[in-house]
Amino acid sequence: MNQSEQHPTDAQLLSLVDGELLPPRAVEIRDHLDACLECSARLAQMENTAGAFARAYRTPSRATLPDASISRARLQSQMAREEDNSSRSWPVRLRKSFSVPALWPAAALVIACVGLLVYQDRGLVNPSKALIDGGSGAPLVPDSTLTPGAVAPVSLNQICMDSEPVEQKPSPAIQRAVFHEYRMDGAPPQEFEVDHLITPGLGGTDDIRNLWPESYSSQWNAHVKDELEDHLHDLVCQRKLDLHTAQRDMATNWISAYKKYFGTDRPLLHNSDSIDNRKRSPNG
Amino acid sequence: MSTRAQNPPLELALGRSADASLSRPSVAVHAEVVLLFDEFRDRLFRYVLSLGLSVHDGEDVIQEVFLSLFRHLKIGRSRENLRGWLFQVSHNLALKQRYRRQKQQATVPNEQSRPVERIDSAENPEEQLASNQRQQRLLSAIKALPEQDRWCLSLRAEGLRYREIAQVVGISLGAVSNSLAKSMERLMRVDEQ
Repeated sequence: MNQSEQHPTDAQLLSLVDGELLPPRAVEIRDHLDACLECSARLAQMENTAGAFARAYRTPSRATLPDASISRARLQSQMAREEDNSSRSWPVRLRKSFSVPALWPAAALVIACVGLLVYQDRGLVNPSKALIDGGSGAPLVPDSTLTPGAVAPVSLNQICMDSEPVEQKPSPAIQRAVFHEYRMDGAPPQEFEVDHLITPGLGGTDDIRNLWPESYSSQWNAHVKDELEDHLHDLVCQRKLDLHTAQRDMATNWISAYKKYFGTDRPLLHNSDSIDNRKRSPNG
Repeated sequence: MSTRAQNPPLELALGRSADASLSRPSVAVHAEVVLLFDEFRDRLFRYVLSLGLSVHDGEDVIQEVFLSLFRHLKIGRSRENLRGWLFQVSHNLALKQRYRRQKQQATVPNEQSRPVERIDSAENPEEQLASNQRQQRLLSAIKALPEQDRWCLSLRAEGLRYREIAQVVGISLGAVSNSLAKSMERLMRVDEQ
C-alpha cells in the first residue's frame, strides 16, 4: 500500500479530533493511523498543541473577569425593569375586558374552575420574580409557576400544639422531580434543601407545588428562611398574626417577608453564612 | 408533576393585583436567562475579551447579550441552538463595541493588551515557568494570525462545533475547517521551537 498517498491532511486530523468527521471517514482515518506512525505522531502533536492553546486561551479570564454575582444581579434588575415596563399596561386591558358584559359568563366560568382547583388544597400564589442565587444557580425565591405554595386546612390548635411539627424530608423521588422541574438535575443535592415554601408549621403541605430547591450557600439561604418560619409560627401562635396572612406573606416572597417581620434589609448575621453543613432545624 | 404545567391563573381567583406579578411565561424566561447566564457568561466574556474588548466594555456587551436573549425568548423566538445564538450575538455586539471604541479612543490601548499573570497551582515553579513561556509563545503566534482565523480558533477553544463557528463568523463549514487546520499548523510549528 502506498501510504503517503493516503495520509490524511491536517484539516482531516483536526476534524477527527473534534469529532466533526462522518463515521465512515473517521473509521478510514483511524485505520490509517493504526498503520502509520508518522500520522499518529502528527495527531498526538496536534492534540498536545491544541490542549496547550486551549489552556492558554482560558487562563487569563480567570484572573480578569469581574465577579459574576454582580453581573447577574445587574442583569436581573434590568430584566425586571423591562418586564415592569411592559406589564404595566395589562391590568388596564384586563379591566377593560371585564367591562364588556358579553365576557362576563366566560369570566365567571374561568373563576369557578379556578376556584375549584384552589379549594382542593388552597394553593397560594407566589408572584415574586424568580431571583436566582449567584453561586448555585438556585432560585432565591421559588418560581411561582412551579411552586405557588399549597396549604391544608388547619386550626391554630393543630399548629400550636405543645411540640412543633417535624418537617418530613421529601422522598428522593420527589426531590429529584423538584430538581428536574427547576432544571437543576446535576446540582449537588447536599448543597440544597428541597424545602417547603410554606412550612408545615404554618399549614403547608408536602404537595410538590409547595416544594422548591433552596440553597444552603446563598446569603438568603435555607437557614435564614428557617428563622422566618420559626418567627411567624411564634407570632401566629401568640395571636399577633393571622395565619392566612403568614401563609400568604411566606408564599408571596419569603425574603420580603423576612425583611418586613425582622425589620432588616439583610439576613441576621448568624444565618447568612455560606455553606456550613449545619444540620437543618426540625421545622424546616 | 404534570399538574404544574396546568396551573390555572390563581392570582385572578385570589384577586391579586396584576401589576404585582410577572406573567407566567416571563417568570420562566427570566429564570431560563439566568440559568443560561450562569452557564455561558464566563465563556462569552472570555470570547469577547479575545476580540480585543476591555473588561469594562466586555461586561457591558455581556449584559446586552443576555438582555437580548431575554427579549428573544420572551417573544417566543427559536430556542434552537441557543449556545450558537449567544456566541453569534456576543461576536456581533463585541465587534460593534470595538469599532465604536476605536473611533473614540484610537490611541488608548485596551486592557486586553496588558500582560495577565497566569497561575496554575498544580505545577511547580520550573514547570510553571516553562508552561507560561509555552502559553506566551502560543498566544503570540495567535496574534500574528488573520483575525478571522483567530475567531475560529477561539470559538473552537470554547467548545463550539464547526457549524456553530461557521454561523458566528459567517463563513462556510469548509472554510472553518481549513482555517482551523491552518492555524493549528502554525501553532504546532511555534510549539516545536
